[in-house]
Amino acid sequence: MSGISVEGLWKAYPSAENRDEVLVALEDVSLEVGEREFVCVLGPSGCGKSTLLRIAAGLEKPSLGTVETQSRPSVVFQEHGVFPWLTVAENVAYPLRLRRVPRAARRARVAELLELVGLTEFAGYYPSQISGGMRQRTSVARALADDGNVLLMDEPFGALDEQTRVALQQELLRIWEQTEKSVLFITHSVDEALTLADRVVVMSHRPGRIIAEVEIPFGRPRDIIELRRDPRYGEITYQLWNLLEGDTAAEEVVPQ
Amino acid sequence: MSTDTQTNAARASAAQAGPGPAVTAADREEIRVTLAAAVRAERGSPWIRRIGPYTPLLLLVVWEALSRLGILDARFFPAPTAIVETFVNLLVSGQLVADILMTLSRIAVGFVLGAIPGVLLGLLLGSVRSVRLLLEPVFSSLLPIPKVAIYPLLLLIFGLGETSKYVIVAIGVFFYLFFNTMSGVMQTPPLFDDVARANGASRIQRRLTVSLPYALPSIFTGIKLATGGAFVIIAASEFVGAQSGLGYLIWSSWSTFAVSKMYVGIVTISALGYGATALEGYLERRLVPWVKY
Ligand SMILES: Nc1ncnc2c1ncn2[C@@H]1O[C@H](COP(=O)(O)OP(=O)(O)OP(=O)(O)O)[C@@H](O)[C@H]1O
Ligand SMILES: [Mg+2]
Repeated sequence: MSGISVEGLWKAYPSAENRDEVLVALEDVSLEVGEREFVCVLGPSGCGKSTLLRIAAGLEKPSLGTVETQSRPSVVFQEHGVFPWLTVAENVAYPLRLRRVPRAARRARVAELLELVGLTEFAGYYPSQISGGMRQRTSVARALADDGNVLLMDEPFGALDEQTRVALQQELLRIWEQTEKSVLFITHSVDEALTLADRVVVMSHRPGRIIAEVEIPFGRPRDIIELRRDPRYGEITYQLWNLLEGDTAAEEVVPQ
Repeated sequence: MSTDTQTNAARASAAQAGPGPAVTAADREEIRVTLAAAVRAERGSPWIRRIGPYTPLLLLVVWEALSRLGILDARFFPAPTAIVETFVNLLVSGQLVADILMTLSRIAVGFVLGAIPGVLLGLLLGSVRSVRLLLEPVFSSLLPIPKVAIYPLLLLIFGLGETSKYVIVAIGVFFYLFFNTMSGVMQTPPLFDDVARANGASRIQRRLTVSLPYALPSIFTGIKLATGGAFVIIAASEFVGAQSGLGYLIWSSWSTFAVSKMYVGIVTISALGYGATALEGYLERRLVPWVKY
């Protein structure tokens, strides 16, 4: 069985303007994330990426179509959702506590993950006392602590500086290469998508449809700095930008 | 942290001496002290924080002066020193301590009996919409009934013993905690509940790890309001339905025109209430450390 399989997915919300209308957020989306595959979903703001992820996470129901995941996914939320009443370390330990992992094992695992995201010094801080990027790193560590086979990430590195972002991207690839996770990673950054993914799924403007799937030929393990020197890097960047721009152009030509 | 201090130190020394010698350990220590002082300054003047708790004493001094000068009628407003004398007498005779213990035990038992169901029902109604829609009108319609107004009924049901006091305090406390817990839970951002669900938390785990901590600051507001309410209720019910307690002390002094004694009762209640709120404030800072005070 594949990691995530989405078939003929539609999602509509009641329109805020008109009672009889609906707002279509996702239009006939089908997509497969193979076991141990890393798939990036790339699309403009408001195209339904978060909606897709929330449905895959089982937090919302599809209007039509089906979504299956191999096991309960671990999720990194776009707004990170770090609990203000728990310290950084307690937040990371949260999924372990829910599963009643013994204290000693929990401590060890949390220490490991904090080291990984560079927050060891801030273990005892409350979210109100750390920066936005640190909160986001906390939420990434929490999802890794959950340790499901399926990992859903919604623009997890969005609020980070370029340098930290690259470091965490590299770290994520390293972790992923060592584990068995199937990853669905949402981003609106062309760079990020082709750096990380085996395959990039490009979505259109709202209502979100899949307009293309692009295989990324770079091997594994990847050095994401070295990657920038590969001549194919520029080509794929160009190709992805064209797909995104083409979508905008099409929308402008055919006004509704 | 340490790198920040170093860059500050470097900048400070560069400003003073241009591209001169490196920062010495002494410079660094000096800057550390300056920074620590700045952090303290931001927390507000230590004087105001230290004096704050004693301002009620100032009120007493003013009162004493006015009463001595004859500006206040000493029959109704005896000087605090006179009240202290009565206070000492009552204390020595052991009557005051007995009354205090009586009243406090009624409040404590009643508080626990009311607060626990208040918080639990608040959690339930705050998080389950259908139950809220069904039951909230019931509680809302019971809320405005003055609790003291049902005391005669409670006396009929439970008799003049302690149970009727426990029950009346519990009823009063219940409403404060119920409504405050419920509104705290209802304000929980859905994102936090989603996070818990995505991590596989069961319904009960979600209530305990998300709704409860989120509502905790507003539960504490409920506890503080309920404390005030509990003293009002217990005093009123001891007026009529008891032969002991601070309420009884006040009521019986009225019938014998022992005004000083009355004040002893009033001031003791005020002091107990103040002490209880202070204790709750301490607990709040320990249990809700993520909220800034
Ligand atoms: N609960 C909801 N009720 C009504 N409309 C919603 C709801 N959730 C999402 N939508 C709508 O669905 C559309 C897609 O939203 P979504 O959050 O999935 O976008 P996104 O691609 O993640 O955008 P961004 O990159 O800005 O995060 C938007 O038009 C939004 O208004
Ligand atoms: Mg989004």
